[in-house]
Amino acid sequence: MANPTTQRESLLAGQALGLRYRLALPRAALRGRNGVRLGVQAGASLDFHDYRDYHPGDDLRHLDWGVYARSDKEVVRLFREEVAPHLDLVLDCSRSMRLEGTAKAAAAVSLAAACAAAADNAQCSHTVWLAGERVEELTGSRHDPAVWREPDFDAAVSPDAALLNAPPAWRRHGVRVLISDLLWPAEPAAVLRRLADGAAALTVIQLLAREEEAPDWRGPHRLEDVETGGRADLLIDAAACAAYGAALARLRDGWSTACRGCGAAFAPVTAERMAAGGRLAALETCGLLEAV
Amino acid sequence: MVFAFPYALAGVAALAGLVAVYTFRARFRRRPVSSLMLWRQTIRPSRGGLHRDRLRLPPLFYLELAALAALVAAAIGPHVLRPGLGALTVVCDTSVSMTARDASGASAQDRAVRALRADVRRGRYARVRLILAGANGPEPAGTVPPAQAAARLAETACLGPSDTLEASLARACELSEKTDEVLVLTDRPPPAGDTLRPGVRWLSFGSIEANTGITYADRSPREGGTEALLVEVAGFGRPEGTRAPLRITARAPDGERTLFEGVVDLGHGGRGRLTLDLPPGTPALAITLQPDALDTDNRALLLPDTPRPVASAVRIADAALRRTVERALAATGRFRADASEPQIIFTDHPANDSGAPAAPWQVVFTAPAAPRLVRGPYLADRSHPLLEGLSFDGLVWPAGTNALPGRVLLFAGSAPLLSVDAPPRRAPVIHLVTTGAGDALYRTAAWPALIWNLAQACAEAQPGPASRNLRAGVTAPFMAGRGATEAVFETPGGTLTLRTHAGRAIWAPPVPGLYRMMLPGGKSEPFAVNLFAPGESDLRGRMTGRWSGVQDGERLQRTHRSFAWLPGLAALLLAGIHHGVLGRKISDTVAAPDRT
Repeated sequence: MANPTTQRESLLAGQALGLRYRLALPRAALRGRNGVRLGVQAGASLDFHDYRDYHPGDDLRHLDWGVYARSDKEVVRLFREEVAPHLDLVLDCSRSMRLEGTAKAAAAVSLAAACAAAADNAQCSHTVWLAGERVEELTGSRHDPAVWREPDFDAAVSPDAALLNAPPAWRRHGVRVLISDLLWPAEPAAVLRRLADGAAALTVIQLLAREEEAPDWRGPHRLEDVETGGRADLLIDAAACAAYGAALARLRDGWSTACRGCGAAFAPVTAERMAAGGRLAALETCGLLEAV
Repeated sequence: MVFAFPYALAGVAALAGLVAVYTFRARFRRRPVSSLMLWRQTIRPSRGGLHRDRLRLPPLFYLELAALAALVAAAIGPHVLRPGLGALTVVCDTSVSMTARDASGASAQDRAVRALRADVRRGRYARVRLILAGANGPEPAGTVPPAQAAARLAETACLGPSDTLEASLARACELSEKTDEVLVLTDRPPPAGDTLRPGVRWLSFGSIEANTGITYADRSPREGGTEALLVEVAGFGRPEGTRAPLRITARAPDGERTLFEGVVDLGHGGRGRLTLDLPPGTPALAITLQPDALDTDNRALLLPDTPRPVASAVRIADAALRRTVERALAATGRFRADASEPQIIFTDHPANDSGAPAAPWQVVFTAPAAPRLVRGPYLADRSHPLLEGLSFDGLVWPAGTNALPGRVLLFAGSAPLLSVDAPPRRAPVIHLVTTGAGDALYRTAAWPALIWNLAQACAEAQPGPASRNLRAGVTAPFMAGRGATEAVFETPGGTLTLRTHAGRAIWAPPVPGLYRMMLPGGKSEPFAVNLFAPGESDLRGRMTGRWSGVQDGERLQRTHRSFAWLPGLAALLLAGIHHGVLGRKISDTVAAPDRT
């Protein structure tokens, strides 16, 4: 991905990237509303699904008269149902996602656009939810990413607080994706439980800048939390960086473990390397996307 | 405000600035982060008290610091002593004011000795040349090893009535080479307006002190063998009306006796006078004042100094002329008749043995040939002492046509009237043209004056000092006798031998004290030399200070060798390393984004 300078360019770049993928839908996601995708249950499509014995009240138009003639048994033909799978994408819009000097914001909207484009390829509807002060639907997010409103990333609260305050009207049996840096104190299991409730699948994408994954600063620094405004004067040396790396590893391990516990997938993504090689390797690995 | 090394000062300021820039730049650079959650886990717990972190600065800082420090060092201009230095010529003021002591009891000479010792220790001179600026002019005191210079100066007696610093300094500069230094040690500042030449340092160690001293004393003979004593005392820095205690003692062979003990009132200008009548036969007088800052001017010694009578003999056949001469001799009181061993003979026929070394003076009365009376004009050699104070206006003189031997002192037109024939190592013969006692010359004032001048000249020509009471530093004649080629003196500093010219030595005794002139036949003539130097007794113009005819930089170049090139080269090297490191760092920074 070239270096987009605006979120609009990032959206378009993410959309172009997502066209190479298709959202990998689990079986559990092929339920719900009628749509254009064949579901896992019997429905009203033209595709034969199964036979079953006739029960009073069944539509006589589905009675297989050939089987009745041969075996004198009343058998009803069942057809596959057609469903409309859905992707609910939750985008962390806290200030930390627009960290100064990093590509996190651009990477986040590109990632969201790529997932939306991949969902379109999978004939899957999509909704982008912005987890700011509250969880709100991104205007235009049900349509093409090119018409999305650009998210602001100016919330001062973490996504779990937003989910708790105003839980969104997510589609049941939908695929849910959380894009966040996860750099907020929370109990992963509780957050995941809230996210996975009623979902067919859940993928947590941790988007971090390179300097957040492996800071290479040295010397005394005054660290300022962009969300809380808190400050900490630290002398950062190799030992401090190693301790930071260990803490980050523990955080990822905690989220990964929690994801596995609830059947969700966890995918760490580096903002600056998100589109390296023109592939979203991390999302392929975790099974969220599959190449077209 | 003037700084010795302005560039170094700027460098030091840059050093401070560099440290400040790096320190403040290194201290808590602001860096926004997504969350402090993970960073808080890196904070090390404090165990057993406060933990102090060492300030970490990049290597570039130390490189820049070292380069700046090297530049500062180069700007300061470090020097090392040259291995071989020139000579130090020390001009020492030996005037008596150098011995004046301040309240602590130290004299300017003491301080000068200490300064010279310290200077020699610092200077690493190859040798030290001493020149004493005595009253009689520059006196080279030899070349000594530097370690002995201060001791030599301490041994030098500073008793001169004046100094000759300017002349001595000129002599020192003549003797010094380009790399040599000249050091003047005195108690007074250099003359106002004078500019010291490069390489000359003028160190003054004087101190302003009030001082009372004897500025003049003399005993004058009077009739009847009595004498009059005059003592003048000056109080420099003393208020008017001060009373100076004074004591006068007579030093007779049988002991001392006090002639006067009292005070002298110092009147206008701080000066006071005391006059005493001395009885006949008063021996040597010692005059003393109470001790004060300068001791030497508190003492004076006056020897009896009655004019020495001249033994004379009158061998003139003309009775009238003889009586006229004898009357004139008696009128002066300077002659005593001694026909056996006369020192001067008045005669009308010259003796043939006048060429002997011990021959007496002769005054030959010569009759003129073909005499004719003349009224002048008279041509007189006024430079000769015999004609001092003589006037011949209106005098009628019987001049002749005969020539006179020797140097003619008086002409009447072209006719010689008076001459002196003084060949080397022989007694002078004075020829006077006269026709007899009836000449008008003997009835004028010129005649007794001429006889007086004869007595004076003959007395002064006798062996011994011209006066028994002399003033230090004042030139006086000393007759060693006809034929003598040298005059020997016993001085306070030892025996001194001077070469004579025409049996006479001209000398200025440099220091006060009792002297003795050795005469032929084992005899000796004592004479006293007193200070009587108001300029030395007056300590109000003394000063402590330092003047230099050379800038410090020039003196530094004279004695030291600069190695500013070394830190300069180091600064250049460090700057090169810094440039290399910085260039590498910049290229790394530029290349870093490509790795993404």
